[in-house]
Amino acid sequence: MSQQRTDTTQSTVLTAVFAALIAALGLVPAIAIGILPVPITVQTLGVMLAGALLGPLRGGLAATVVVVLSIAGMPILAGGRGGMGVLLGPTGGYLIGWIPAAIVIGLLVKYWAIRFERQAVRYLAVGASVFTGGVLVIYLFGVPWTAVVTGLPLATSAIGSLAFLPGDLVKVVVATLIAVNVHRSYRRLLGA
Amino acid sequence: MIGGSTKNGPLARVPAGYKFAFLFAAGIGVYLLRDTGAQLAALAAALVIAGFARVGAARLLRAMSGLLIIAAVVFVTMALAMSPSEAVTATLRLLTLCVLAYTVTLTTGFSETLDLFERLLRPFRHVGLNPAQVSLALSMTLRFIPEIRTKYFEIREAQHARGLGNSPMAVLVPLIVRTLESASEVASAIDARCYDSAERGTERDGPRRALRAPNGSDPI
Repeated sequence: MSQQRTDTTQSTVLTAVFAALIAALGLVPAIAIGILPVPITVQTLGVMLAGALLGPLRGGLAATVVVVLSIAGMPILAGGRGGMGVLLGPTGGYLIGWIPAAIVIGLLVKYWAIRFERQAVRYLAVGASVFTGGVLVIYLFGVPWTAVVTGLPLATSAIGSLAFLPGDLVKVVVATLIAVNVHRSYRRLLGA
Repeated sequence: MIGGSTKNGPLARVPAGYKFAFLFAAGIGVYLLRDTGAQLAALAAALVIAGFARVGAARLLRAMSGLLIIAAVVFVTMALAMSPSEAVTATLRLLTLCVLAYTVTLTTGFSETLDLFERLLRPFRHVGLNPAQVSLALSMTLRFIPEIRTKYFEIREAQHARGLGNSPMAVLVPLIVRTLESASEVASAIDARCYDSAERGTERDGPRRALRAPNGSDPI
């Protein structure tokens, strides 16, 4: 019982600090990354890391906490945005998509990618997991949401989202490198 | 203090639940309006409500500034891709809904909104979602945001001194390792103080009350 309580507390705290990490990454200035002409905000990087490092349950909950706090009006999204207006606005789907994104990344990394023994294969598998959740799943929610809210055709909305693709791909690479390295030092993080 | 809301004005006294229910209904309502005249009337009504709430035009504009740019882009794209009348419909719908949404946010206290969410989550405790844990996680998150932000700037400065300031890896890996370390410290501190968050309800308001500023306003 006592051990179980410790685990519950540990999970709650990990969820909270990662939610805070996602929020804090939205409040720091955009980071300039070598090959890209414009600085990118790193908030979705935090979502990818929450899923890849904490697994589906705690990662998904961390993303949920950030979404709930921002909808409740805390200006914790990149650029100091927050409130119901963000949810009901054209980019609301990209926000809601964070929750399934973290869950999908967590599931893929925990039960598939991290189990590869060979270093190169593991990097590729974690990268594929982060791409699936952090790009495909988020766009899957964001693109139709924009189309519904604005009335734009789905194809136009999809083409518009391509503008974010280069930045997102860089984030996938960075998140993968970080996740594999941190898992090497914290082996018990996924509770496996 | 970031965020916060206007505490005066008649709308600030309406319970949060009613405001969110109204927003939900309005969200469906604006999609049912097809006629431009009716839509203009709805936007006017939304602005009247915003004025009634004494949100202040400047605050509303500041909150909506990013959105106005997106709305302009949407208008131009739609006018080119489809027809000007469709563009007008979509843009009016967007503006109406967002004026209402920001009015709700600006007139509802942050802790009031969180209380509403916690009430809405209560039925889920039967499937294993512990309200005390939820409360603990939400308040702890708010407490940690400024701390992690400070840590981020410290690490970035240190890496700048080593000539690594522009490498995201050199900044983010130490940030995450230090965050994980502080997480385990905090978890053992909570257990050492026997905050039994696994037990339903007993000390529900404990951590939240402690984190609230003395003047009763929102944390951070």
